[in-house]
Amino acid sequence: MKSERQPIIEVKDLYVNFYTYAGVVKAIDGVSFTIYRGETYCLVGETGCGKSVTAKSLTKLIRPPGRIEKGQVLYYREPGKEPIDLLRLSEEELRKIRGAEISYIFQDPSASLDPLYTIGYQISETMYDHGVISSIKEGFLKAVDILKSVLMPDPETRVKNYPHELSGGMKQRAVIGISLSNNPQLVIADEPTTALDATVQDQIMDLLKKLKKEKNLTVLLITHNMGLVADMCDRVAVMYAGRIVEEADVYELFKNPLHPYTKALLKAVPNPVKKIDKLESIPGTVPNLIYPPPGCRFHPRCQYAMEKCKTERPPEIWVSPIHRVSCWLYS
Amino acid sequence: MSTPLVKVVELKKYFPVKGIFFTKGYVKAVDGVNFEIYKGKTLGLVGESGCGKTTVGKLVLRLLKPTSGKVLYEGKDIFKLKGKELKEFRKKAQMVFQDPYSSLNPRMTIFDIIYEPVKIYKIKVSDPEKFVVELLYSVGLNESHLYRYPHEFSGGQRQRIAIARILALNPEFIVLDEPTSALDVSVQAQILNLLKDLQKKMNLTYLFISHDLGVVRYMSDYIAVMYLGQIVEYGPAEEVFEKPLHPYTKALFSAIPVPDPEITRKREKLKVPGEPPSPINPPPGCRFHPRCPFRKEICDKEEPEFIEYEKDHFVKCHLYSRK
Amino acid sequence: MSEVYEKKLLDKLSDALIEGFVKFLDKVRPGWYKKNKARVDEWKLMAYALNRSPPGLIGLALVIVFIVLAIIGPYIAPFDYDTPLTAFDRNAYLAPPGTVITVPNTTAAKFLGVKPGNYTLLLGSDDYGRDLFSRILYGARTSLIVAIMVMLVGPWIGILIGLVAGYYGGKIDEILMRFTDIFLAFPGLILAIAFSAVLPPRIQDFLNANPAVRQFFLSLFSLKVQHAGSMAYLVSVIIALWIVWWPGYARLVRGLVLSARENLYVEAARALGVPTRWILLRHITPNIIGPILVYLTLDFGGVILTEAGLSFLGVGAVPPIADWGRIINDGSQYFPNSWWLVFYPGLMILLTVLGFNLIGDTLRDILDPKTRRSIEFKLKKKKQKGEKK
Repeated sequence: MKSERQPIIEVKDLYVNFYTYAGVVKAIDGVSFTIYRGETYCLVGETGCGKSVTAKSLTKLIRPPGRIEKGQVLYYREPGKEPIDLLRLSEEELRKIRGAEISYIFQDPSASLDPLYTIGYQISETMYDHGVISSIKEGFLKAVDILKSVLMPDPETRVKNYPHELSGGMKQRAVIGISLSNNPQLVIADEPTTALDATVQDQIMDLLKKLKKEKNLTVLLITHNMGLVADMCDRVAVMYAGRIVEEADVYELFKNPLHPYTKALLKAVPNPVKKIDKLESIPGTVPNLIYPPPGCRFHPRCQYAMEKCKTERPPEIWVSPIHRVSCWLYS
Repeated sequence: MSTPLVKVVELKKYFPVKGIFFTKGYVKAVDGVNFEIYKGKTLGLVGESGCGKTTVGKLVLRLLKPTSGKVLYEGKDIFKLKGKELKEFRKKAQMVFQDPYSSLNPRMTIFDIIYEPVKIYKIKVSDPEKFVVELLYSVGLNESHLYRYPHEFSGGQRQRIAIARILALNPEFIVLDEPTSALDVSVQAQILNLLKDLQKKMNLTYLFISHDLGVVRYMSDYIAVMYLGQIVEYGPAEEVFEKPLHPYTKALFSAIPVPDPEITRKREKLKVPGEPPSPINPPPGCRFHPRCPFRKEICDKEEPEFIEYEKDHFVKCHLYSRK
Repeated sequence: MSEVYEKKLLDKLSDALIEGFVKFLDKVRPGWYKKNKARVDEWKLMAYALNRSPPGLIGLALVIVFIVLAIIGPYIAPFDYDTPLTAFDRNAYLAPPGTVITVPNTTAAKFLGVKPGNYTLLLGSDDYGRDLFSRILYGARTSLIVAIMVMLVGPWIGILIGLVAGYYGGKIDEILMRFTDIFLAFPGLILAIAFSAVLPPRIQDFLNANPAVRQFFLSLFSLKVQHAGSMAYLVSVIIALWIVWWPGYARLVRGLVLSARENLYVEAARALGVPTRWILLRHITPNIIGPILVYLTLDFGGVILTEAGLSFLGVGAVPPIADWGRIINDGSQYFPNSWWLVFYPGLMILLTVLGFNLIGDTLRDILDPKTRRSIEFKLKKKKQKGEKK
């Protein structure tokens, strides 16, 4: 099975710092992972772990005071051919890729849509900018088709609506429509359903699953919601304090979590399907990334911490072909 | 059975929608809600945005005046209380808000924030500093935090401060409006456990409002499911979760992804189309009927009654009426 | 936190000033420092931000110079604001800057209280032979006092109305705001002219009936008793400015209160049962003070400018009162030959108002937590020598 998989994005040794007045925040500290074509890859973690920053770094969307210090983001435009390093491309070249080959869906659809323009116009604009269509008028016609594909009720009317005339769910559909209008290869979705109601969340996730199958999309999903991860993803990477601490196939991760943080995280999530006697919480708080703890960044909160953990950063250990973990317990 | 601490009877709250010259219509935010909470127990109120659960929370504390209906606290109608009795009620019934990042005045020190209720109610305290420090300890903080400002603290810590502020009044009944929605999972667990401990120690009664079913199940003894201003199902938490009756409840439970791929991908789900309609013009008859997969003839004509289908388990749906 | 930054000399100065103030407060209220340590740190940070803002420092310097000149001006001026030097030396008529005149030892000199000798008229003199330098110093005092008197009353009416309107909303808001609108529509100039035409006699009567009050104001403005009548005109303009000045504040504060009212912590306070006046005092006011302070600072310059403008038009400072606007008016007929009569007072107005504007702008940057970032960003952290920026 592995030999069939073609990588589409390969992140190698990514380091991102933020230069703030309080000090240098070492937000991303040596992150490496590979996303294969056709899969849904998940970056999961709590606030401040760096998952959003990682997602934005892929196409150099980091603004000062943030700075990508080093690393490579290898993009395999075509399977089997030579990849290009996105971090070495110019802004012009990247702009051609963003929205066309790699597109984003962000958390708050109200913030992603310009309140001054109709939905149809905004969909057309993306296509027009990438030269797919020659006029906005043509874009409106195509926009109706796109709205149909995202199951927007009443697309002919909605295409002429302004964002404030749409509900949260409809707005997110529109955003997804814009995102997929140029048939990208990779879609990066950063907390796409957090701002939505439960039943609408479910509909949007179903929509994403359907579209993924139809258009053979690769999806990078960023979320803090473990339920979403369990529902949507093929492979999962758990992030903590700017590093990936564990990565595995989704079933494997939930059945057999190895890293103490992953284990604790899973025990802290209240599962609505079972009666829980006690939720376990993780003592302490997320570290300050201006003065991160030396060695393993989780060691101050880890009940299994050894001497080594306090001084040396644990290496990546492949426990099985589908499961790697960064923890001295497994060396 | 003793009397409940809180009893809500046919509570309604309509917000007028103003046109240019006259009122265009009403947002029926809460439209005939009934429930009881016994002392020391937790009622979980779940529903999606716009269902009216936050409004119920505010009504129950007299932060809003109802359009009609009663809220009885210890048997007395809270909207008829005056003067000293009203003050007593305010001391006993308090609220914890959702967003810890903006529920604390950024220009007040932690000491001022926690001590404020004491000053307002003129409670006699011999050593203010000691009093506040003790409260801080009871929520897991310490005295080094006393003269600092809120922005120096994390979300979880701020929520603890908000809880400490309420505890200064020695309350009996606390309405918690999404108290952990803005917090990370690991921090959420800490706060929920703290709330449970406090409940045991001080015999507190909670109205726990949330859209997160896992959290509600962990915290509640009873739950009430709200849709478009009405309670559609009510019963002991375990029972409602194991055997949901109302189609909306089933749909809601299906929609929440479960943190276990084995379960969430393989279980039976009840899918429901569309989105909750506007509470200005709720659908006639049963409010859920436009989206309900089990819709019958009668559902768009007559509003179903709120009946006790099984012991202590109520549901408002024609599927379960005796007719 | 403040120990962490690279400090400049100015920082040490501002630290010393702040710490001195804090020690004083601690003596008056024991234990104050312990409870307010975080706030003091914030003040120090704001001072560092000011120290690193050249326009702010320039503004501060200009304002300090203005205030100092206004206070000590009348004492260091070589002559009074109305001394006609032409009585001693004909050269003192429209004398250009640098002219030297001689005051002989006559009874006139003794009568006018001028010591005999040679004097250099630093900035020249006007058509009455009055030393421009002295008049400008007295003018500073006039401007300062007028500005203080307007700012002591005007804004506060508006702030109070704004607070009430903003917090209570509804009908009260409507009524108060319509009331404010009426006053906003008042043409300030016309009002000032009308007041100048009507009020001065009544003010004079009042002052004559209350000699103590009269003396108080005369000392404030540093005027001679015989000019009390002229002072009445100045006071009438001040009263007119009160009426014209408050609506802006009402609008500003109302807007600020409207948004501050929506904050969750205000709702939380209401849920706790906090009474309304407490909420206004403790929860709303401290959070809106920033923009109000900025507005007040900028307005100080605004009042000075307006007052000078009115005097230039002949309303308000009536001769022989020394007022920069008035001096320009009197001197404009001799322009451009006797350019100094217009140039120097104009320059003073420019520098003073500029000073207040610069300080007001910098204050806005310092107090607004969002823009404060950009200034704080320039603060370099200590011992980060090898760190790239």
